[in-house]
Amino acid sequence: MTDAGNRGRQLALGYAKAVKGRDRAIELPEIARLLWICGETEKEVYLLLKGPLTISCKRHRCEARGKGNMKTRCIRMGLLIIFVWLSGCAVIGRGKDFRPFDEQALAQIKPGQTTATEVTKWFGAPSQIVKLSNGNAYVYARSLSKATGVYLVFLTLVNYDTQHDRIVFFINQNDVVTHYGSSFKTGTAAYGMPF
Amino acid sequence: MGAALRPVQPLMECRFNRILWAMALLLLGQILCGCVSFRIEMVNDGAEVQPLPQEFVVSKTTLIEVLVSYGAPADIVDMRGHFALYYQRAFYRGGQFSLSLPFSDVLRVSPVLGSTGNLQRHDSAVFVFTPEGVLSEMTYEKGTSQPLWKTYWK
Repeated sequence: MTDAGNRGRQLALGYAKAVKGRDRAIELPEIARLLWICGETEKEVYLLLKGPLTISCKRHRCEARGKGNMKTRCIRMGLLIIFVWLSGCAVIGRGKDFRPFDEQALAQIKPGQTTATEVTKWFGAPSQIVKLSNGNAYVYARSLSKATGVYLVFLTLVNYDTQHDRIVFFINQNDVVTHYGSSFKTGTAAYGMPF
Repeated sequence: MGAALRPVQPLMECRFNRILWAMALLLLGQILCGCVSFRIEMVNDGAEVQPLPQEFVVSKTTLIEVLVSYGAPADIVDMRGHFALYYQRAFYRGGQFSLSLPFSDVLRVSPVLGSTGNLQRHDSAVFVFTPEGVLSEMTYEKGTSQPLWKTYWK
């Protein structure tokens, strides 16, 4: 390409001389010769860029392909990589820590009247009993976990979501329920991606 | 094609392309053999903990008001007379990257490059009550609002 550039520069110089007339002699034959050479060069460059370029490297015996072929190769390679990545597997899981208490039974609770015996009769044995200075707290809890896993060849994505249902009864020293609170959130546990 | 059009650059491109292809094939082989792995984890435990309502006032708010507003707590703690209700959500993010070269048959040594990192943040609200069930102290912290990356390196 350097030779072609030199020829172009010579041609430009010839033109400049001819237009400005510094030498008072227009070298028309020389300009015509340079113009012809440039035309030939341009033709070669055009053919070079248009078709698939194959330049043999004698020492290494390798081929440099044209731009179009390279693009196709890149697309094929990309598709292959995507296919390989997507050939993993997906797993969904569900784990439950179950306690058979019924949230509808809460309607029967009347603070100041309901006793600890009735609580255990309706809700079963508590998950936890907390000793307080003026009584006890009975805690009922259960949970639901939802897990999503996508195992690709290279990439593993894991997501866990755990939600809880809880009821707590505050029971005074006379074994009567003074307060209670509840929250039911297991319905909101969701499958998802770790993003 | 004239001799002037035989550039030096394509020769370098040939070498470069060959190296690139070799590296790509090596990487692909490593990936297919399971020697390169990247794992991203997210674990959420519990529901969102609401910020403290403005209506809650120390020495005025009662246990029943807190239970109505927040529901059952994650934990109840006896504090020698006083007791506390503890509401919490735990949010874990973890990542692991490992690269191993299975040379054990040849060198009896298999180099493994592994990197792991995880961060657990908490949203929590704590209400401390007198034995009579009157709010004596309360606090709230939203850990999940902290930025993941900066918090990890803090």
